[in-house]
Amino acid sequence: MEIVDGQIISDHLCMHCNQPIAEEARYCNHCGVLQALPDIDDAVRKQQRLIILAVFFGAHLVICLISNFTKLTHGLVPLLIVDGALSVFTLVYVILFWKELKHLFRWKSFSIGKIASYASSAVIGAIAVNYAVKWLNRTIFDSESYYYFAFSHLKYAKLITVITVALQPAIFEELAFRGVMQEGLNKITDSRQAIFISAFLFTLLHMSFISFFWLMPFALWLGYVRMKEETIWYGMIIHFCFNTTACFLEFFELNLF
Amino acid sequence: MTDSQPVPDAVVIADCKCCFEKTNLSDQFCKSCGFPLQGTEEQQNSFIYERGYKKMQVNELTNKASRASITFYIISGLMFISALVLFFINVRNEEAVPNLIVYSIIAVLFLLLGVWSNKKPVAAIICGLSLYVVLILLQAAVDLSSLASGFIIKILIIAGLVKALISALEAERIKKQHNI
Repeated sequence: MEIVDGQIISDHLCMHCNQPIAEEARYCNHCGVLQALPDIDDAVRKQQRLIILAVFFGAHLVICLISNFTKLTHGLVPLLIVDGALSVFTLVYVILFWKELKHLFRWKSFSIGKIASYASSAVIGAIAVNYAVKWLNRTIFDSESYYYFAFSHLKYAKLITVITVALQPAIFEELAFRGVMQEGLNKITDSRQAIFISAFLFTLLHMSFISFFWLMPFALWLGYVRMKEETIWYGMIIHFCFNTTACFLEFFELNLF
Repeated sequence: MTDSQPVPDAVVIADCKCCFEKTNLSDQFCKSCGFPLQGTEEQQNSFIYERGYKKMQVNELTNKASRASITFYIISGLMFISALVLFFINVRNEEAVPNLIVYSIIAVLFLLLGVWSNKKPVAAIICGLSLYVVLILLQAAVDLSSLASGFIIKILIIAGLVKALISALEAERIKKQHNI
């Protein structure tokens, strides 16, 4: 909207009387009709969307619980089944809500400088988190855990560790939480609350008490980047760099180079 | 999107009597709240009455949503008490201190969600409800029989939180639509 010679030049028209109205107008200043709020669902649609998102989260939760408590992650084939189930389930949702999600796959803000700065921040963050978590685990729980040991008996163990710990989560967790979940929540509530909720649910799903303290800020950062950049690609790069750094730090600690 | 068209008399002259936003000379209605600026006194009074009714509706829904915060305080209190009881029962066990820390932090988390739900009820209720369900399922994964203990209370808490969430969402929608 712009003002020329005391007149408003507007691109927006009232949905009822077709008169030009200000872009930010909730009501038409000519006929008084409430303009549609395209970013907000009505009450019934909100409840339907909540149920859809609850089913999405619930299915992820059940798969994670089964894999954690039945030791299904021990061995490559069971792990592939679990990861495959989560990935397929996420893809089904992405396909079902493609119209709403396709804008996230555009990359208008593409910049090598941004990629480098996000990637280096992720690497620095991963190094700091790795040492802090190791210290906390040793101090409080008197234990240490390594992703690599789940695959150490396999050929190409390091490559498999990077694929399952870094690549698969970077793609599918981003699609699930910064894609399906955050976009769905954006239609229910405002974008800040959507970032917080999707970050909280992402953290909960990892079912690790110690991880809560770094996963929550990490997920908030990913959610913020996705909102600011209006694309899911930067989040995937950050997530991949973060997890890959964690894998390489393990290899380094275990003298695998 | 269509071709640009001019709107005459874009001079700000007064505040809307209803929502106090700036209005233009030519405006028939306030673009912020829909108040009939050029309407008769009866039309204007009727609009203010209806808006007052919407405000009452929002207050009622907000009150319903605020029950969630009481639920979170109760969960927090119960969790803290059970953390202390478990600690003193298993005080010689090496897991006693880590368990006390974990349960206490979860109790604090529920307490914070309770406080936050007064400001941002939608986010706080979704997070609190998810946390509560995850804790129940984690407990059930370790010991399936734990699902049965306090089953009715668990269902009542979940149903109460869902109802509070629906009220919070509706209150948020009315507030946003009517600029309240």
